[in-house]
Formats: sequence, C-alpha cells, structure tokens
Amino acid sequence: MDIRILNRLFNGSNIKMSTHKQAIDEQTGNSHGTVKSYVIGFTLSVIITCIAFYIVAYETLAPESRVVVLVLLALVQLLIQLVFFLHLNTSSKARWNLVSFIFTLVVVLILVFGSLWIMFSLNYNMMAH
Amino acid sequence: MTTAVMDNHHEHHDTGDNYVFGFWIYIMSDCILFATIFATYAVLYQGTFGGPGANELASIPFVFVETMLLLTSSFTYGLAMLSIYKGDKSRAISLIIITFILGATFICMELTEFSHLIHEGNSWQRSAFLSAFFTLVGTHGLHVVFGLIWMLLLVTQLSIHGITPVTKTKLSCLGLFWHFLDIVWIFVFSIVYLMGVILK
Repeated sequence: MDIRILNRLFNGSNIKMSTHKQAIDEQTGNSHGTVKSYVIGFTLSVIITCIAFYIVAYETLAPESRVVVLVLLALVQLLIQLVFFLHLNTSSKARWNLVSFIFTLVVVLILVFGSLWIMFSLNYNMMAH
Repeated sequence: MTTAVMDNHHEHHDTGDNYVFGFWIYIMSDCILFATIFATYAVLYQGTFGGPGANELASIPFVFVETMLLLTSSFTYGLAMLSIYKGDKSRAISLIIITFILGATFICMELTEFSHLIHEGNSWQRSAFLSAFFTLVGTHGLHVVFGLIWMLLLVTQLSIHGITPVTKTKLSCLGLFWHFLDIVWIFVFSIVYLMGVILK
C-alpha cells in the first residue's frame, strides 16, 4: 500500500477521468469538477443573482409575481451550486450524498411549512372574533 | 507489527470518501439547523414592534457586494481544490488565501451592518423581527468565521505537510462547508433582504 501511494505522489497528477464529466481523485476517492464546470457554475450563479437583484431594485413585475420569481431563482441557483460546486449527481459515487440530501430536504420542508401553518393558524385562532 | 504498518492503518481511517461522506451528513444536519432558524424568521418577520422592518436593513447594492464576495470565494475555493488534485501546492495555498480575503471582507461588511443597527438602538432586543434577523444572519456569519479560522489552520498544515491524503480529505471537508455556506447565503439574501424590499 505504501509503495503505490508513494508512486502516485511522485507521478504528480492523480486525476482519473471517468465516463462522467466529473473526475475522481484516485488517492482519496473524492469526486471533483474541472475548471470548466466551476466556471460554468460560477457564471450561471452570477447571472441568476444579477437577475434577482435587478428584479427587486428596478421593480419589474407585480409584487406577487416578484416573490414567486425570486423563490424560483433561489431554487435554480441552489441546484446549480449543488451540481457544479458540490458535485451532487446520480453517479454511484454521489448516490448516498443524494439520498441523504433528499431526506434532509423532506425534513426541512416539513419544518418550514409546518411551522408556518401552525403559527398562522394559532395567530388566527387567538384573534377575537 | 512494524511502525510502518501501524501508521498505514491509522492513516487509512483518517482519509477517503467515507470520511468526507460523514462530513456531508454533518452538513445535512446543519441544513436542518438553518431551516429551523429560517422558519422562526418567517414566523416573526412582521413583529417589528415599531422598530425597523426588513426593508430598512442594508441597501441593495451593499447586499449585492456581500453576495458577490461570497460567491466568488466559493469559486476560488473550487479552483484551489483543483490545484490540490493536480499536486500544485503553492497555487492551492494562494487560492485559499484569496478565498480567505473575500470571506473576511464579507464578514467585515456584515459587522459594519450589525454595528450600525446596534448603535441606532436596533439590536436583537428591539423587536421579535430583529431577534430573528440577528439570529439568522448572525448564525450564518458565525459559521463563516469558523470557516475562515479553519482555512488559516489548513493553509498552515498544507505548508508544513504538503499534499497528502490526510490534508486532501480535510480540504475536501472545508470545501463542502464553504460551498454550503454560500448556498445558505442564497436563501438569506433572497428571503431576508430581497423579500424585505418587495414585501414592504
């Protein structure tokens, strides 16, 4: 085991391209992107952020639609950063990351919308009728 | 057993994708933490008690700059990791230091914003809304500060030990942490600052 690690250290590059766009480091098994994937992810995120700020700063669209668009933009940017920065995908290497992420998402949705539902119901029921 | 075999055994447990996956699970639990604080904010954001509301926080350009700082720092950290996998230690260290500077600037801006609010008399004690605001944005900021300290420590380790499976694994974990903080910030700036302006 020592000899193989030593050989790889002296070889310099430890990147092995798999059939996916992402690469996997041989030494630690961690997946990582390429310069291209990071540039794409960064550029898309900047564009979406600019659109979001523009919509709010220049008051385009009606207020209700602005809220919806803002939420959608946030979700799209989340997805972009998950895929391009965190390398979340359906490959066998990232599968359990994806599974645990989806579970977390379910818990988060219950927490957030559950709390909102409960507190607003409470508010309503506590008012004098 | 020789010392070499014992070291190998020890090193094997400290590296590898299982270790990073374990850290990913921690990040998932941190998501839950932020979700509860977001839910609290959503419930309390109208409780301004005569004090300032969400639209009277920092200006849009100010928050835009903060957002760009954090986003760019996420990008530079990604490039740092690529340098690590290519074996380029000095380039990686430079990129991590750039990431640190961007993150530290973000924190300075946030501290200016907080101190301005507090000196006006609008601290977390002023209203329910402000309690929720300071908790949410403050918790995120605190995470960023820990990330910055971690960066300094890893740069030191990297300089001393060079690129090894152990330092690579640690850097991967910091990478997950740092990207995650940028993702949380997407929701902070959208829900707190931008919605604050829209939902006057």
